[in-house]
Amino acid sequence: MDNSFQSRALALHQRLLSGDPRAPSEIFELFEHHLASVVRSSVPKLIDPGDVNAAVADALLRYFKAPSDYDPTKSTLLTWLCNHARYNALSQLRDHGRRQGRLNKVGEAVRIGLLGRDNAHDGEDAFLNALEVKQIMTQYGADIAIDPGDQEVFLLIAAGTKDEAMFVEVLGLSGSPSENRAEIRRRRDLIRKRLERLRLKLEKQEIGQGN
Amino acid sequence: MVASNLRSSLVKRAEGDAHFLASALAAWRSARPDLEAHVLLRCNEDDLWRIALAPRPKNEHEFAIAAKRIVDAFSIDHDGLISLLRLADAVDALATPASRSDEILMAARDRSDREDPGDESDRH
Repeated sequence: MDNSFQSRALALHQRLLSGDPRAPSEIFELFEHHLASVVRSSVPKLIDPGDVNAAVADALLRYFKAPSDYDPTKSTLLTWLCNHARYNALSQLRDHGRRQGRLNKVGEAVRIGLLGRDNAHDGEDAFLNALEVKQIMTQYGADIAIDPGDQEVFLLIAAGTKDEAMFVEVLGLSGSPSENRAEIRRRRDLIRKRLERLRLKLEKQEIGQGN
Repeated sequence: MVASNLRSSLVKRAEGDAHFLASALAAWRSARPDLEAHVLLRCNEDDLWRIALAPRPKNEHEFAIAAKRIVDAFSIDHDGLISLLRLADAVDALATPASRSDEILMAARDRSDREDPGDESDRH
């Protein structure tokens, strides 16, 4: 996003803060295409296409209700809104897992989908889809999410999110940027180690079943 | 197409949130299907979504100021907006538990006052 775009966004942000009734619709017009496309591309297989609208809409409504939550010194408004929209999309998995059905090889999903991406796979196929995440969390959530915030960190990792602001948000971090970065790295590493242990456990189970 | 779907989704979700005027517009549509909101407000139907995303004035001391700000921002009819908001407040109050009967009475009284052509007290 260029500076002029952010300048326009900040001007609208100020109008929203001052209670201008026209500001919400103008902010929507400024961001509508960007938000939808970013969420669609960053969470490509995680949700139904129609759910992108709900995720974006909820992010915008939350902002319209509490515009002072946005801190212009930390990120551009578009980035901030995108983070919330993507997080909304991910949260849908937790709140109402749906499209139950065909996936039955959770171990394969963990290995190919999640750990595979950490081994430098990139692009759309690197992301877990809704079924995979849902089923992993249902069956192995206790192995993965132990401390508060672990589940959110897992969801962000699963969606391929690298934006630190999202991790800061879900973990409620309030330290300096370097402190936050270190804490995010520590939490991500913890999740990865648990996933690696889970992968080994599943491999052993498969070997046991094969014998 | 995607954009219009997104806008529809946005307004639809705002209808379920009392923070937004969309909730009052939805209440009006439900209670008064005989009179369309854009006719009441004397505005273009295509502009209703903008009005829907504006904050809904609350039944507090800043109600009149907030309502006037909306009227000025969208160039809509003042009395129409007050009618819409009062009806929406009354509908909301009737939907609340009986313990809030005082609010119901206040909303009903406001509406009654408004319908009295000789009383302009709650319009400004």
